[in-house]
Amino acid sequence: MVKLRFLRPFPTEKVAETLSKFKAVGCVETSTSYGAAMKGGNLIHEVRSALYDEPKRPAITSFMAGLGGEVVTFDEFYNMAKVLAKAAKTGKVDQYVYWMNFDNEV
Amino acid sequence: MAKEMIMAGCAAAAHAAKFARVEVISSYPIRPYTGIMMELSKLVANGELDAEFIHGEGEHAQVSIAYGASACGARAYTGSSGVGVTYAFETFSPASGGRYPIQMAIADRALDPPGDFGSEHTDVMSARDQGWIMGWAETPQEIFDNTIIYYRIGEDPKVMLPQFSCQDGYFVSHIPDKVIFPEQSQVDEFLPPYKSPHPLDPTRPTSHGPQIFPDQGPAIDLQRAQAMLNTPKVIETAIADYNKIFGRKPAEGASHAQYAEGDRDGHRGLQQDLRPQLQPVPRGV
Repeated sequence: MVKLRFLRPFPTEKVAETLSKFKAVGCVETSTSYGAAMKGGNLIHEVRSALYDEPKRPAITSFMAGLGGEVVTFDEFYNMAKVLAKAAKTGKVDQYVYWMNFDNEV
Repeated sequence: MAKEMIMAGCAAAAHAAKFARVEVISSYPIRPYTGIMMELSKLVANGELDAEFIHGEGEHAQVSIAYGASACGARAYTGSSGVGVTYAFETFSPASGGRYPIQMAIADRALDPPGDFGSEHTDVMSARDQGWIMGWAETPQEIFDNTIIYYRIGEDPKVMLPQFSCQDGYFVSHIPDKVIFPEQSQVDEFLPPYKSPHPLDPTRPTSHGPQIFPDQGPAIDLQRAQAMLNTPKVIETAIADYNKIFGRKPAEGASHAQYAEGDRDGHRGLQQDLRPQLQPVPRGV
């Protein structure tokens, strides 16, 4: 789990340095941007942009979890981990966004 | 001596504001952040904190009061949650454009719909592009620390920007945890009194928020953008100083990562639980 201490200013270089070590990254989203480029939350746009110039980019997806203030359960985190483990193996993501408890895989 | 206390995020934020010696506080009730103002009103009423406590007639007035106080050279503190944040929206850009380093505490609450009072970051995320510094605390201790650290960052002459110090509603704002209170002298060493470069003063007139022509706009926007670009270095120094003065250890440093704001990262039990699957946890990016 990587924790974002500031959203503004966004720590672009540190995010790139930290997350480029991974094969797959999932952004746990806490808000939505309806109709946005990545079709889900806000964080994934910033994370993908921060990693764009890295020679080795991880596969990146996002998880809509706990919207409305619902408690995010351990089971949901396990399911996120499963999606990421698969993405780490195949090197790609099937979806840019997973709505926890609503999408088939999660 | 530092004192160990048990309190929820709201009380932790209020006590941090007291340690930061805020001079003007503007309130308006909306849950869950209200607990911050309830605690601060007690601290002011019983004489523990010497500050003006002003009750606004709404969130727009609340931020406007803080804005005016900051223009006069005061360290100003306000806050809100959920739809209260959006009711204040018009004031956000003038606060950062005028470079007033006020602090607004946020205990996140979902916007309507769903109208369920739950914690969701949609409230203040709507103000993401308004030129305010923003970040989330995971624990009451972190919101205590952030409240003090954010003033130091925002009031730096290279920055001069307002700050949203955010915590998840309920999960952080209302669940008690350990909070270490430092010595007042440590806070004073870390955070000297705010010195506005151009305070409103009848004896030395200055203009604040003047009407300008369109061709004067880009320069002001560029300055605000530059201030935000200056901020990461100021953050690094402030956090290093904080860790040194308060005796804190820096944050600790798999094939995959989950990346989150606020309490979504607060599943410390989960991190233990997933350890066989996930590698050590890099923190505090």
